[in-house]
Amino acid sequence: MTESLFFIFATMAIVSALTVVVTRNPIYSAVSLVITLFSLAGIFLLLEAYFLAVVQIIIYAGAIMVLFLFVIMLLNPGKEAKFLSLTDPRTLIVTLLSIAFIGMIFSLVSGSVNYIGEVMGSVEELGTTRNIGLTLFTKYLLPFEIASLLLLVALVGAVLMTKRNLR
Amino acid sequence: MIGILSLHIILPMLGILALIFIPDKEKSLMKVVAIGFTLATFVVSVVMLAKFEIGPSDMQFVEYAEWIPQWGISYKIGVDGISLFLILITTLLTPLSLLSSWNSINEGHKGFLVSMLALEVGIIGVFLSMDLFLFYVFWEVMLIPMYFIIGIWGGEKRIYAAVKFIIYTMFGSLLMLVAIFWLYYLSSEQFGSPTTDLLMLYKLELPYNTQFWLFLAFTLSFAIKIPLFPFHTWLPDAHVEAPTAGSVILAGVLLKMGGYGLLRYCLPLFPEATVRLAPYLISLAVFGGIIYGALVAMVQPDMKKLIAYSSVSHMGFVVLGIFVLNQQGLQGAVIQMVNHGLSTGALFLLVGFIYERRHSRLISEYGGIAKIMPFYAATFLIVVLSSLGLPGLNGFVGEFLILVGSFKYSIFFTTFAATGVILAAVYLLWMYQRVMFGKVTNEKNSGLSDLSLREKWVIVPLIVLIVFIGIYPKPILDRIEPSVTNLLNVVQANSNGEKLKISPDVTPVSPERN
Amino acid sequence: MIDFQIVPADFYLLLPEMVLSVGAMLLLFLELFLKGNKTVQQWTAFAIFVVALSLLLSQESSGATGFGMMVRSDLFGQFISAVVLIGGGLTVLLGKEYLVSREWHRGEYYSLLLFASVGMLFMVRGLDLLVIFLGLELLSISLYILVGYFRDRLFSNEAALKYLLLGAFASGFLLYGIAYTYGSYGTTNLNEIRTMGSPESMTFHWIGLSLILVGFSFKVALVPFHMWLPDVYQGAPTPVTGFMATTTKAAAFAAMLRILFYGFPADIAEWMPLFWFLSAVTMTVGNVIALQQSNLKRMLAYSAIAHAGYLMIGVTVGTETGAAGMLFYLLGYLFMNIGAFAVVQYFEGKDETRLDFESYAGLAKKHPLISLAMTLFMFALAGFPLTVGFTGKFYIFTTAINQGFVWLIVIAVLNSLISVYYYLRVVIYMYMKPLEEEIEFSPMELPAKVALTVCVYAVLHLGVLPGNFITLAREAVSAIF
Repeated sequence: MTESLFFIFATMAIVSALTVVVTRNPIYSAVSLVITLFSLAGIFLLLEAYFLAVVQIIIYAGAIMVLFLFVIMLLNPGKEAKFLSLTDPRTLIVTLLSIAFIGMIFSLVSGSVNYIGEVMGSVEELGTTRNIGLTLFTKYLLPFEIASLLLLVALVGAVLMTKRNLR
Repeated sequence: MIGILSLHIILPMLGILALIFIPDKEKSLMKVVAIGFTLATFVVSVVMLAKFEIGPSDMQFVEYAEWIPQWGISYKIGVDGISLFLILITTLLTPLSLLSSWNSINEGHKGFLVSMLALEVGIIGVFLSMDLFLFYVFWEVMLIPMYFIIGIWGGEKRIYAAVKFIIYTMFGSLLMLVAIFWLYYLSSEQFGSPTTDLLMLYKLELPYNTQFWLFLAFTLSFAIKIPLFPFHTWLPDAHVEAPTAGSVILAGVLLKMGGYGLLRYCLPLFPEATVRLAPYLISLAVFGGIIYGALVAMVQPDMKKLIAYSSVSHMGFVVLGIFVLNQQGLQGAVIQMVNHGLSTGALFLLVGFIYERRHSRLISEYGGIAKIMPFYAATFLIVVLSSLGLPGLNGFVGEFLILVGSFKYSIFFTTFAATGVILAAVYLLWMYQRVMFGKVTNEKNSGLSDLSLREKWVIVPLIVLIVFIGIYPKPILDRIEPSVTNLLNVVQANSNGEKLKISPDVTPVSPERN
Repeated sequence: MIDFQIVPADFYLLLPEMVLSVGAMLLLFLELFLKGNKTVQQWTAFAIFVVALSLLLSQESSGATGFGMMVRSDLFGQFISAVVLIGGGLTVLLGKEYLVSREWHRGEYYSLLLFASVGMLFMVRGLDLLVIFLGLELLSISLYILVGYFRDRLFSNEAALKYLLLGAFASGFLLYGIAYTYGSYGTTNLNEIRTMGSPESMTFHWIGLSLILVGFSFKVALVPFHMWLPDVYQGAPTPVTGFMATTTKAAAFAAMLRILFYGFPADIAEWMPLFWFLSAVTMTVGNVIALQQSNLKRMLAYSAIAHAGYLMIGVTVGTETGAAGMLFYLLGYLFMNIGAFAVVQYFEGKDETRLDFESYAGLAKKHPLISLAMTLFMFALAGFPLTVGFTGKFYIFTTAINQGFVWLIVIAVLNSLISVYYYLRVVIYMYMKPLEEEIEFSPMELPAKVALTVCVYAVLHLGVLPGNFITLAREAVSAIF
């Protein structure tokens, strides 16, 4: 049961991710990204990372992507000219290389597929909000704070780059 | 107390410092200060000569200071019979060439004088170094002022010549650097901790294979400097484009660094390789250097280029003398370097005099100059005769000794080498005749003034030395001999039983072939 | 419950980073309230760097870890952090004049430099892959913004966008690699990984480490991950380029060294052939393409790639002395390169058109001292003795020969020869070509002069008397082995 769900979500994620890149309409692109995020949230649920799944939906899909969609609709860009030609040799090379890369990783990983099960080992408690909270604010406090600095810098950058009257 | 050898290095540096503080418009003051400091350095080296002991073969006046102890590198300098006179011609030619340039540099005087002084520091440092790292530092550092001197104050194609000079030389010295790294590594293997002290490195036990490659790397670098055929192609351009003072130092001193390098580094560090590869080097020296250089010199229309190729020829004698590996050959090589410095330096100075007047170096532009400038013609004649090796003048001493040494090694090579002397006579006398004798063919030449007092001051000391050494070379040979004998012994003892074709003067050790 | 304590000592450990962060925020406020007074901003920023540096150097480098083994205070971290902070200070000194002349001076410039430095300090002193990653991200984002600082200039925008896209991609690889490493070892902490020795799954370990190295190779611009560098260096404001070329390289290499040598010491021998290849190719590509450049900034960009190649030799060698050589070289490289960029900044003119060689013709006559400084930097980068360029290369090259890498050194040495040619071109134009046009440059302001003098002095001092710093580098390295 879990396995089939995984494959459904995984396929959804991959297809929508490809759509994000390939489609010419920016709104389709943004919506596909939302679908990708939802699929990932689903996978998180399967991995018993409840908090992460919910946060992903609320913040990433809910806040960030909505903002994206707002801006896109405000700017109202037209459709892109066809930019991913299938006959272009570059597309072909990139596709082949990507398949090779994925295939390589897959074949390497599949040899250790038994191990995956072990690491997963069941700690049902692992993904709960409580545990995440505890770990985040004790063991991983420093990375947490650095991430906050990161957000500050992003903020500064956004203002610096885009505010109209800066003088 | 600063040692007498460090004084050689410090005095020109003080000169540079003094020059920096002189305002740009005080041109005469600058020249006087520069010449003053270089003369002072000359005086110091004369003092060193006076105090030099004849007899001991090891380094004298050795000074030592720790520099980078973490790497086993130290500041260690010393002088012996081989480097003694090379230092002297350096300290002599520098003030003379500065004096000769009194009027010929049009702008950037301060930079020129600073560069010449820096050049002197670099060259003297190379001759004095007893530490491989220190040697390499001076070797490379010397390139920079020479590069500027050619590139800024040189002739038409000066940038091309300067770049060619520096890239060509650096190619050799970088490969030598790899060899130095290798030696450094071997020193840490064999002695426990790495060192670049030359005397320690002499004690390294190196298998022939290693010696072969290291010898090649070092020799390549020196062969470019000497210059030895086929690595000589940078020289004509550099000489022609350089200003007179630059050419004098280049030909008079810089080229000797190559010969010195062979004697100080290649022979004692890689004796077996030296002995085994000597025949190849001798062939190159004789056919590529002596004969080819002379033949090409003959067809040159430009006086400076002619003298440049004659340098290739003369330095070929030096290489020949080194690799026949006997007493006469080596002594001849050392004194030939000294003499060549004097005579070729003088030649370039003389060409410089007439270039200043007429701004042409082409032989065809001149003719019958002897009538117009008799003093000049007379000094020119003496120098030309010295260069072609007339007995009684200094050039003969070196060439004779080398040919004697070469005769003991192989009659075949000697015959060809001797033809080099004949060829030298041809191209030098022919040039002299075309320039000096005959009718005054070019109207512009008829009003030329003979040598001024300043110019006489420049050339006469060299003439005196040329004659003196030609008649009485003994004091010089006496001081050279112990170090040369020592060197030969070292090579013979460590060449693993390879037989040297030696004269009975040097006692052989372990005559078995390997 | 979770057994975890945060002690005051932890905060003491992070004092430099905290000072830098608070200082950055302070500068944001200063920008708000002190709009006109640029000098105050500049000197405040400089003071913050100085304070952070002194706090850093006063720490006991005993190997103590803090915040749950997330950061480590050792001599290795101190050394490279010092390099970063000195670089930051110099960039601050050089920045104001540059920005004022282009009428786009904002306090955010200094803040972003400070934030970037914080990121680098975390990269270098972090003991956990997550901290290193976050430090890298902090650095990168600050740099993306700094590169695109001149937002109305197309060139700048393009550079920033390229950097952002490719950087994000590389960070993705890095994170993927960290994930695999976690899958292999069950932890992201280098300390624990080190003590664990061999993991359960070697495959994951290999994939993880490879991807991590890919991520770092991008940052350091090893071939074939170097494509972004020339455009980004050219489009960024010149003082920022100097900052990027030196400090980012130092931090990225340091992080790489810590991860490889401290976290995965057993692997070094396995990676050697790959590193050999990377360094040889990087050196050669960098130098050969630099030969063909006519734009000085671009030429220096390719030379930066070449120097990354030389530095990789230290990683290839895989011993303590190799790493020590790298540290020493990075210190020297800081001064050589920032000095060169400082001169380029002075001569390039407001619209940055005077970046080709012809604009340098005859400059030596009017600006003898600055030309002399530039000559020194060019000779130093080429590796002439008496400069740190030579002593640094000597250190790395002799170590490599000691371990038997003769052919690699022959390649390196030939590459140095090639580099002589293009470094000398600048010198040729400055000294040997006639002065074409009479361009008036406003005299260099004091802070820039100070920065230039410091660089000149350092290049010479480290070239002639490197002894103490060699010992320092050696000791620093022993902290991570």
